[in-house]
Formats: sequence, structure tokens, C-alpha cells
Amino acid sequence: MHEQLIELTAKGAALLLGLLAAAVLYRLLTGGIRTKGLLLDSEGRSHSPARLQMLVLSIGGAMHYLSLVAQNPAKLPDPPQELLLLVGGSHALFMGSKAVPLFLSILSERLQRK
Amino acid sequence: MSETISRYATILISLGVLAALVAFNQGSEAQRLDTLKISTGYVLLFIVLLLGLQIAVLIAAGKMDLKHLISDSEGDASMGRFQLLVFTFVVALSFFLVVLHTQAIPEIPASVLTLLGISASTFAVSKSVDAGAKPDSESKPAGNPKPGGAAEGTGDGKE
Repeated sequence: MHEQLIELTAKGAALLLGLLAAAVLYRLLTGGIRTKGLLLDSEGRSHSPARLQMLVLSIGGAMHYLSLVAQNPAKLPDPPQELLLLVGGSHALFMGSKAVPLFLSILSERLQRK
Repeated sequence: MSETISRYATILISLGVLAALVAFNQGSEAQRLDTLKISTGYVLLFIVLLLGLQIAVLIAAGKMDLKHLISDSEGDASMGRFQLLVFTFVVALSFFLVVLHTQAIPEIPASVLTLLGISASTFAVSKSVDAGAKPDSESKPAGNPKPGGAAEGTGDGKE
């Protein structure tokens, strides 16, 4: 009886996660979730390469991991080190593209005050 | 719709509690405690599943507003939030596939948690950078007149 409850809990948790993911994906694809300005830079004037590379690598990395799971669904596989490095590097580049202009503007403001 | 679901849930939970009480009065003390634990597990599982199902239905039907799920404080879509959403769903879907295959709750490897950690850290840093950028845009005299609120900010705080 315990085994039945554990099995049912596992199936229920999986069903719930799948349903929530499907519902959010459906709203995202049908325009229920706002995606305007996703790839625009901080000023909102032009497309940002840092955002574009992060979008591509995030989706590519996510699809790669899903394909690993689909190949062997017996357990959650370890993502390859290369994937972690690639995603980490991509995110670092994105954060750098946001932080450096801010740092420079603060620096120039302080220099002007002096 | 939610009222109907609540009514059905109340009836089913009451029936579950009654069944547990009936089962509790049979067998030895150890068996009764075991039955009580399993019955409680089933009732809790049912309540959580029903709540989750209701949330999923409300999202799909558009009654739960998720328009700004990945928007920043300026209202534009944020890359930091979007990538966190993508990685969370990937891990959730992987969990879904593994559970369907093995019929058991899988162990989550440390490297998957690292991947989620990278994603969540990016989101947190992105928010803090935006928070650091915000006072500059608000301090500009013509950029954001507070009393009238007619003009919007300059967009410096966008993620």
C-alpha cells in the first residue's frame, strides 16, 4: 500500500509539473505573456547581441539537456561540463553587458563631480 | 467554476476522512496507525493535486493573468526572467519524463542544481543591476515627473 501511494505521488507530481509547464507554454505562444522588448538593449532602441546569444544558448542548452533525458529516461542525467561552461559563460556575458555601462556611467558621474 | 471544484473537493475529502475513520477501527494498533498514515497521505495528495489542477486550468483559460510573468518593473520582457523560466521548465519536464519511465521520484544530480543555480544567479544579479540603475533615471528632473505621472521613465532600469 505504501508503494502504491509513493507511485501515485510521483505520477501526480509529474502530471502537475507537466500541466503547469504546458499551460504557461500555451500562454507564452498565444501572446498571453508579454514578450515585447525581450531582445532590445537597455535603452530599448536596438537589438542587443548579448541578449540574442543568451536566448540562443539558453534554448539550445535546454533542448540539449532534454534530448539527453529522452535518450535515457531511467534517471536524471548529469549535464556535460561543456554545457555548464557554455551557459555560465553566456550568462556572464549578458550580466557584463548590463553591468559595464552602469559602472561606466557611475564612474563618469563621480569624475565629473570631482 | 472554482466554487464547484471547492464543493466537490469538500465532499471528496469528507468521504476520504470517513473511509479513513472506518478503516482505523479495524485490526491491531500498528495496523490502524499504518492505515491512518496512508489515508492521510492519500487525502493530502488529493488536495495538492486538485489545487494544482485548478491553477493549471485557470492559467490555460486566461483567468489567471500571467501577462507580466517575465516583465521587468518597466513592463518590458526581461531576459533574466525568461531564461529562469526556460531552465525551470526544462528540469520540470525532465522530472516528468523520468517519473513516467521509472514510476518513482528520481534523485536530482548536483550538476542539475548547479545549472539552476547559474540561471537563478543571473536573474538575481540582473535585478540588482537594474535596481542600481534605477535611481539615476529617477533623479533626472524631466524624465519622471512623479505628481502627474504622465511621462514614463527613460527605460534605464530595463532588464
